[in-house]
Amino acid sequence: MFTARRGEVEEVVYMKGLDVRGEGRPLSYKLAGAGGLNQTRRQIRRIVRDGRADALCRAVAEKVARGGKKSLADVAEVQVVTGKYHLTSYFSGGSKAPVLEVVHASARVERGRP
Amino acid sequence: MKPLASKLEAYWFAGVPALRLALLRVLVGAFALWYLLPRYAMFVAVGQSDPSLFEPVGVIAVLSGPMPANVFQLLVIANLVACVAFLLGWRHRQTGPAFAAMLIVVLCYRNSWSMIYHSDNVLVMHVMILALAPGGRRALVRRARRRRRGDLPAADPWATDPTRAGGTAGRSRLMRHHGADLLRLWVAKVVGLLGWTWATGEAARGQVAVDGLRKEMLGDGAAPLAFALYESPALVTVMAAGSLALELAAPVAMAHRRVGWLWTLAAFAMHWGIFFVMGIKFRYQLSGLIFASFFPLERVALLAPVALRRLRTPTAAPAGP
Repeated sequence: MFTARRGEVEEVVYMKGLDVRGEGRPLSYKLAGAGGLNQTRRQIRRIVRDGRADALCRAVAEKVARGGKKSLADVAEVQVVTGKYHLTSYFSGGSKAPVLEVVHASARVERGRP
Repeated sequence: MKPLASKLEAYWFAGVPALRLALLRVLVGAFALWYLLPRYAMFVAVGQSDPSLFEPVGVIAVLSGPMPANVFQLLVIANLVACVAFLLGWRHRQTGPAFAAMLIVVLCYRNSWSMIYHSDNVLVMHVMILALAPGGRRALVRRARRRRRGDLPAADPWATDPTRAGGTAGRSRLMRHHGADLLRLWVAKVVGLLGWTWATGEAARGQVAVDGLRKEMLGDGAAPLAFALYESPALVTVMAAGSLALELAAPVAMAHRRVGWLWTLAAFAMHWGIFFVMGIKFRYQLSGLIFASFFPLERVALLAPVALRRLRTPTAAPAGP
C-alpha cells in the first residue's frame, strides 16, 4: 500500500460541469458509477482508454438533467477530461489550474426533454 | 529444550479460551453486519455495472463473465442472513462457514469491477478463522446458565482453559494474521520499487498529494491536513519512518503480550492518522475491533457481573455515634 513512485506532475481523469459562461468545476464520481471513489475513478479511466468517453459523457449529462439537484442546476455542459496538475503548486498555495487539460468528450445538458 | 516444530506451533497457534472466541465472534459479526447492511444498495448497483468493466479477482476468477444481477442480489441477501446467524452463533458449525464462504464471494465480486479494496482482506480472514473455530452460541449460553444457577467455578474453564475450546480448531490465529498482514505491507514497501527510500517520506508525501488531488477532482475535496502536511516534509519523514518501524515490529508484537498491546495502540493511532491526513476510512481498523483478539476479552466478561453487583449493592450506612 502506498508504494508507487509519484512524480511532480500527476494526471487525473474526471468529469467537469460547465455553466453557460464556460466556467467549469469537477463533478462527483457518483454520477459515473455505483462503487466507491477509487473504483469509479478506475472505471472512468478505463472507459476513456477504451475510446468510450462519449457514451460516458452523454450518460452523465442525462443524469445531471434528470437529477434535478440544485447544486447542478447551472451545469449546461459536461466534459470528460484528463487534467495534469503540478502537485507542489496545487498543495503549496500556488496555482490550482491544470498544467495541461485534454477534453475527451463533451455533451450538452438537455433539460425538460421527455 | 523444545523441538523447533513445537516452538513454532506454540508461536503461530496460541490457544485461547472458547469464551474469547465467542466474544470475538459477536464483535466481528456485529462489525460485519454494520459494514454490509448499509451497503446493500451499493452491492446491488455494482452487480448491475457495465459488463465490459468486469475484471474477476480472487474466487470470482473462475467466472468468465458477470453473473446475472438478480443472482448476485440474492447472494447479498443470503450473506446478510448468514451474517446475523454468525453474530448470534446460531448453528455455528453450519452457519459460520456458510457466512465466511458467502462473504468472500460477495466481496471478491464487489472488487471485480476495476478496483480491489485491500482493506476488506483482514475482515474476511477474521471471519473465516472465527467461522471454523469453536465459540458458537453454546459457549456463551452454557456459561450464562451456570452463572444464573450460581455454580460457575472461580476458574471457569470456558473462560480460562484454551484446550476447552476444542483442540487445534480452538487455537486462534487472529492476531497472528493481522500482524502478518502489516508485515506484508512492510515487505511491499522495502522490497518494492522504492526500497528503503520509502522511509524518507518523499513517496508518502507524493501519495498524500495524489490521493488528495483525486478527491479534489472526483469527490468532496482533499482533507485540510493533506495541504498542511505537504508543506512539512520533515514531519512526513517522521511519520513514514514511524509507520515502517511499526510494520516491521509486527512479529515482535505477536511474540509478547504486553508489547502487543502497545503495538496495537500505535497501529490504531496510525490508522486514525491516515484518516485525518488522507480521509481514507479503514473502518475495521478505525473501529479498533481488528485488534480485539490481542486482548483477554473473557476477563471483561468475568469481571463485568462482579462490577454490576457492586454497583447494585447499596453501600452500608456509616455507624452512628
